[in-house]
Amino acid sequence: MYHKGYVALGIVLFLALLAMPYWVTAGKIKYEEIEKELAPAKGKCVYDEEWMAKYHMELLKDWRELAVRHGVRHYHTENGDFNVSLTECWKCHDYNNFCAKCHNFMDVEPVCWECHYNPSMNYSTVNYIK
Amino acid sequence: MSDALYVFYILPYVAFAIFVVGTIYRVINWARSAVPLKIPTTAGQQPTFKFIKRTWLDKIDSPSNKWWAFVRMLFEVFLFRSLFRNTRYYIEKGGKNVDARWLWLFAVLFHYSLLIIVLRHLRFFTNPVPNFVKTIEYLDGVLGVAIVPPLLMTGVIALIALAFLWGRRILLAKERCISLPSDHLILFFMAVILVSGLLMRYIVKIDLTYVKMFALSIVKFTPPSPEVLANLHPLFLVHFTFVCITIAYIPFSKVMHFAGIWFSPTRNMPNDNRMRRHVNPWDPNPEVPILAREGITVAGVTYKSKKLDWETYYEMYKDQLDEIAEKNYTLKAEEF
Repeated sequence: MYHKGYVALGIVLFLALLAMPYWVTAGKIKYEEIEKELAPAKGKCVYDEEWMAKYHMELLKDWRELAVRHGVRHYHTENGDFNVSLTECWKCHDYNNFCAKCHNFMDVEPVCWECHYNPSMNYSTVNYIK
Repeated sequence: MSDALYVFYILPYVAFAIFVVGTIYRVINWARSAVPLKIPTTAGQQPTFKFIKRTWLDKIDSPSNKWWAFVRMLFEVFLFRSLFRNTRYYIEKGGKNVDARWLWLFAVLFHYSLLIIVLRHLRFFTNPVPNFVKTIEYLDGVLGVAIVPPLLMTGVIALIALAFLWGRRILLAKERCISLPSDHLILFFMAVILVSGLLMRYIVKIDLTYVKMFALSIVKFTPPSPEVLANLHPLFLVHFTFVCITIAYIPFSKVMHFAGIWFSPTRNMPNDNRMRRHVNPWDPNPEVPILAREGITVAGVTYKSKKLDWETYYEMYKDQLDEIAEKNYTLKAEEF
């Protein structure tokens, strides 16, 4: 074998790259059964749980268009009648222990909160809503 | 049924074992082969009289020491410099050169998109997700926030680049001629992986929490619960299986260029023929000639001799030589 030093260095770097998930987290990867850690909701959601888990962002997008572009504020499903608004979510769900928990787990940062209010915010301008 | 799904938990370990062992095997195999000659393929000015100027471009093009050879290597690996210089591939009837650097452009776009896509996937394999992964994802999606979820540009760029790279092999006559089945196979794998991944993000929504639990169980070496496996979406399983197949296929495929590029003799040797004598590293100055040490094996019999003389040669190829002798030593082309 020629140039043993370089080849060994290359192989070590190659293996180090493959082990990336471990060293970027300093070896502390936490396994979480996230479904079990979410705070239970107080009521029935717009659709069933499984559908909401996959498509809640699509629903909110549709709601945005319904409310902003068409002025529709009323949404009827088999689970009841809903007010087309983000604040409707906070009636049943706890933001920090439900929404944020899963979003942090999945590293999803919704762009909603750049304009909209959620209960975890602590701005004097939105505190009166609480 | 749920027991059978554990195949998907074992699959990545098998794929990675094949990938790691295969890659190291091939790297060592390359490292064992000698480079008998220095191969100075260069367009730059070599170091010579002091009054002949050498710019830094000349130093990269014609490196006179290991450091500049290393710089040339970096340009090769990170900017695909050889591909960029490939402008003379098509020669039109009028003898004009056609700029084929769009190949370089799409190759660069494709490779860097894939790199960022792989780094972005770290969000499934780490929990808490490190900040740099968040930053990469934010920058990736900064142009595409108009839709939900934000459109990540690398996914789109990779798909477009792949379409060009595959279209090139399908639509251009010369490339179609020189394309092997393996060239198409790896592009097919890439297409399946990219399309299934994009589908999962933008069109067919799947419950990612189970995907992440599954990914974490892989990196934590703890088998996932049957519930997690049962909730994995079929489209995810397609994506995942094809990723595993691709990873396992890499050591047998042209994708090994990620390691092979470091072994390119025309790129990794300093162009210092006139300063240093390059000694053939393969058996340079033997005490016992290789002919006597290891010999030549013909039809299962090893012949060792100090010098290849007629007697030994005759013994080696007795049958053929006798056959020629029977025909009065006249050689003619074989008749079919």
